[in-house]
Amino acid sequence: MDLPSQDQSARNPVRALAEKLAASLGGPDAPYRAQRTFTATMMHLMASLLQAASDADPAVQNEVLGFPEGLVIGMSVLGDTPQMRLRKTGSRLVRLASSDPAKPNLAIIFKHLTHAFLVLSFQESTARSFANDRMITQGDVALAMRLVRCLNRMEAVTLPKLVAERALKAYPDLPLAEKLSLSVRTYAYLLRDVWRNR
Amino acid sequence: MSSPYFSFFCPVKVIAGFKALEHIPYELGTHGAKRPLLVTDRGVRGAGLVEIVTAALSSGSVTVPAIFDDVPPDSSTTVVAEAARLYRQNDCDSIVAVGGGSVIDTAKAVNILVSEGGDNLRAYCGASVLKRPLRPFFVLPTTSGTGSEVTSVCVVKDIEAGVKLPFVSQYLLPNVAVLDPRLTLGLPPFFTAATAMDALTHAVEAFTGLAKNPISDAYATAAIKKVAVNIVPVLTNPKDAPRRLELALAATMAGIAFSNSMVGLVHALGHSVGAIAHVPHGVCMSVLLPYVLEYNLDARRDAIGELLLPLAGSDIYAATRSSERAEKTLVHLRKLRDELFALAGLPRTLSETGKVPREKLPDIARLALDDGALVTNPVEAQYEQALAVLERAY
Ligand SMILES: [Fe+2]
Repeated sequence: MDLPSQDQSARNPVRALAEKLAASLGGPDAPYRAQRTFTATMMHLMASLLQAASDADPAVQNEVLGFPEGLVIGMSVLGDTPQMRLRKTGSRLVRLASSDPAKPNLAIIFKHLTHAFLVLSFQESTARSFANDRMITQGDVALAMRLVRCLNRMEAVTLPKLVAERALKAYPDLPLAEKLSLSVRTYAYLLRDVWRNR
Repeated sequence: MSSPYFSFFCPVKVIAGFKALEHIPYELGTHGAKRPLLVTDRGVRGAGLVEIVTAALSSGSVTVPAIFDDVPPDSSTTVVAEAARLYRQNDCDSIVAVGGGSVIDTAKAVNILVSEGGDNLRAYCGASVLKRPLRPFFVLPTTSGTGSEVTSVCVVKDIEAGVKLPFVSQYLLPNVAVLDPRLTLGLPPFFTAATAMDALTHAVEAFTGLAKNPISDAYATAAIKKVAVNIVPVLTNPKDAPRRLELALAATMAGIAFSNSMVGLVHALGHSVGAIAHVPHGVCMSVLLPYVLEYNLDARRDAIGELLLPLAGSDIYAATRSSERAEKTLVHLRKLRDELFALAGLPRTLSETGKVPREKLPDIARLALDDGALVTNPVEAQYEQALAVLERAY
């Protein structure tokens, strides 16, 4: 699982399909300009999905309650301004407006644009990226682990299983009916937020 | 498709073996240092090890202007500031740490203060905050386990804020690690066994984890072999200096492996057991290792199976079908654990430690989820799985 080989994917049709999906995004060698656009879009989407998940999913809410009030979470590429910033407010993670000057006190910073692109296009799992030392975490380790749990849960609920399997170390034991109802709720909140901010 | 990638870094000069201590004066000279502050603890001093070190230094024309021997088992920012004061008062120009994990962590933090100036350690907390090399720093481990002599991290308690401050920087790495069998000859059997199991666990987790790489694999397997071959003979004959040195080398090599490839669920759970039930770290490792490997078995069958060679030797490895080697590795680990119980009284289960109430297991499992070591464990573990492993190890 850590170092997937080509022949493994040839045997596994789900993996092969997921690879096609990744390839359609440009593959790992997409031009940097395309990577930058894609990465920025995905970070904004992840922020919106996390906010929606904190509204819709009790499991995410439970995790969020463990963050200190007012904590600002960020995800960015080294040298760039954070594209994803959220503030812990009660049981919610609320996206920060771009005018808000708050600096993250818990941050995941990819060392290079391409490293962020690999993760956000599901070509490299978050755990693999961390093990490859491609990201820097700033802030309390225990809070970073909590953020990882929020992200994992949100991805398991909102992503199609074949994509989520690439993003996560283990696809959780989530009954289909529960996954569907939670993802519908999450996307409903996402649409509501998009509608409000239009 | 992601391709294999890794990085590997270890700039520590290792000086090991017969009369290694006597090399320190020359090595200090190559760093332009001649007035080292010696950092140690009462236990090490009481065992007469400080005298051995200072005698080797003074006969080599290096005087030790000051000795700080007040390091407690759980060091704090206050202790670090005191030691830094002593360094400045005596116009020192380098640090020599003589001790185990706590002494080495304290000395690393002292080096931050005396190099960067001021007394506010908190300002340097976190990852990659330090931007330049610190003062010449030599480490002389008196236990064979933590591997702190080759790691770039230290943890110091901030008593006022009631938190543990982590420091991570390549500049915390010592310049020189000195492994001299005289420093570990007197280590009591219980701690010899516990620290050796810590070293073994570092190597096993580095070798079976998500961040394994070919270079740390070489260090890890060599370290495992050294522990497997030497631990029982050392426990039966504690004054066997060559074998003591082998254990010290194993700890350093395992340290190099895990500082590049990280650890996993054994450490995540072990840190929590230590924090909540105050069981010594090496004991936690020894108890939990077989159960976590069992949990990781299916995902890491090949890697665990390969460990049979360094652990059990070539005859047993060759006589075991490749499909059965992973299970056989577990059999050998359990056998080793039982031998250490018989020879050194090392507990085999959590209940045998006498310090872990069963009703604390849920708290321990919950705390383990916040441990960074979980990320590189090859198998995902959530609360239920973490608790299940603890239950089995009880
Ligand atoms: Fe350890």
